[in-house]
Amino acid sequence: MALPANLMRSPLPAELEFIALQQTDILIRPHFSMGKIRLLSGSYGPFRATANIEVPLWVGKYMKQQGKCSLIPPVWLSVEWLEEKLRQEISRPEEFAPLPFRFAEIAKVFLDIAADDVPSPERVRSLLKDLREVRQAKTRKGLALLDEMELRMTGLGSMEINELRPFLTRAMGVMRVLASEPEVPASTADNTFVTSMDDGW
Amino acid sequence: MDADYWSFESCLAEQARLPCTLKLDVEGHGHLLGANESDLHVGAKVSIPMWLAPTLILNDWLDFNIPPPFMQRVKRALNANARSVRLSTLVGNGGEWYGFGKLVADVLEESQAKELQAVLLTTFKERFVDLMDQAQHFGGIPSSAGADSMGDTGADFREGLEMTERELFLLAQESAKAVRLWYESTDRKEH
Amino acid sequence: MSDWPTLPGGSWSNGHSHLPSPSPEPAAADADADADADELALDAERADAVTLLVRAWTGERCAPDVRAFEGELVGRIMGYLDAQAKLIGVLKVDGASEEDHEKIGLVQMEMDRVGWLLRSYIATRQEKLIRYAPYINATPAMQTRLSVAEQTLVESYQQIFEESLIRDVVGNLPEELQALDEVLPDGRSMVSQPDLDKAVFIRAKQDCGPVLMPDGSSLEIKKRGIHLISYRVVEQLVLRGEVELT
Repeated sequence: MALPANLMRSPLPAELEFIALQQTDILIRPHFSMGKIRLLSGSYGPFRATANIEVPLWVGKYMKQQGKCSLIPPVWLSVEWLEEKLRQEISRPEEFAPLPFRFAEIAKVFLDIAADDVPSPERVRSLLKDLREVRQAKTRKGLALLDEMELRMTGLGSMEINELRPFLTRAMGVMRVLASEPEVPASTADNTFVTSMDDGW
Repeated sequence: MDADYWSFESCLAEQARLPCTLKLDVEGHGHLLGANESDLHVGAKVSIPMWLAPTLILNDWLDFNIPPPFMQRVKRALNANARSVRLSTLVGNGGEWYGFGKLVADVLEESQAKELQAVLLTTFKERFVDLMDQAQHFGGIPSSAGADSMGDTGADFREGLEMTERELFLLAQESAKAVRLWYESTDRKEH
Repeated sequence: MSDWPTLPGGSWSNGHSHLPSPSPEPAAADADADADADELALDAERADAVTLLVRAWTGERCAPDVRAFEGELVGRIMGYLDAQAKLIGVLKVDGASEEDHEKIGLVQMEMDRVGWLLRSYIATRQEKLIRYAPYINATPAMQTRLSVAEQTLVESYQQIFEESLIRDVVGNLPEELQALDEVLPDGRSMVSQPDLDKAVFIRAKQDCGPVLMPDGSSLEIKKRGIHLISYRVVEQLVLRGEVELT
């Protein structure tokens, strides 16, 4: 089956989460021992109980859901780090504070299935929400600069881009048409009447 | 509002009619130009659908007037506050104000065309950020910013959206909703 | 089944079983390796075969036109999936240790995930192939981007589509309305083409030279810059891998 048309406009949030699970490496603390495992995305292990080890996020999620490990949150998924970024976000209105590209997806996975591994998860959750709002307001301001050719949006995260994509690509398309040269009929069947184009209307 | 053969919006915009004055006699074909009588003479008023107008104008068969949705009075209102103008009223419900305007610009001489295009672009830019705000408000995560700033004018604004804007509104609303549902979803397993 | 070179010192199951190793160890991450800032390290990404597939998937989803089919990569990954499936089958028959069960679970999960990526990648291409079938069939340069199976799909699709259109609709219309390749006076064609001017989001992997904009101005694209921009303007940068669609 070919892909449904609405999916062609923009990937779904769940698809971006899938990509983040695939592309992000995190530390886990296993609750068990296991030899080395070789996967298509690389080799991992050997796993020893209580020794932190780096694995793809999807592996960590899988093991966590089976109660076989704890997830170690990345440095940025902490109250101190996010508070600092929120301050930066507010004090520098001209640019987005640098967050990991897939911060929304990674944070969602942690807070969803491993909230017990994140210190002060509720505070982290609310800081992320505040960040989202400040950044949305910034985006709104930035959009005033959109023209039919280009808009610089450096610092936006993957989920933020995705949410804007269908609307912005369409809006830019509309502007492009509005700014375009006239679509004059290429040639008319009978142009014997075209004698006085300069008369003006 | 795009350059695709299958675009329904282009089709809609082309149904809009342009008020014209004949520059030659048309014997027996008046009904084709939307008139009641079949014989029309120089100076007769007809309104020609936009899909047909360019060819007839290019052939110098008729003069046309700037249609009401793009007249000075409207431009002045847009200048004052583009967000408070109900574009949907100007072109009828389901009408294409931008698409119609571009087709009109395409048959104008250059300086007039540029001026009308500038009006179309400026109007679009001044409205589309509010449009996105409103759409996110109705589809997304309740936020302390956003649509509140519009207050009660929000409903008026939404009703005043013309077709291309409505489509954009739906796109933004759909995205915001997808993100909200994703935030609300969970993979937690009950142990 | 043994197409896959087993690297010394690494079997996936402690010698109990002998799953072939997938492709050689991934090379160090390309552009991201020259980390010069903290924020970049936050975004360090993998560079294995699955990552290449993720990039192909993202590119295909975000590009307005059909990109070159990643035949070699798809073949490599399919071979791996096949080998993994066979070995898991063998393991299960032989009876596996508890540790093996854990590993089988992970390997199966990865197979599901990679299988989904493959199907989604192919389905994304199919949507475009069907939408632009008449254009592709009339454009040899486009056909070179397709796999043999995809070329067959496009040809058959157009044939069936036109037969049905003629039989059910067009055949009953006056002759002058029967064309399937009409071009309107303003240039719009019944044969839809990918809109290369469509805006896309790009993320720069490196500093790129100035790019020429449609109005003649030039735009500086800096490393890590994210821009919403016409695909046509950055197509070459995308093909060279200097920027990524995102």
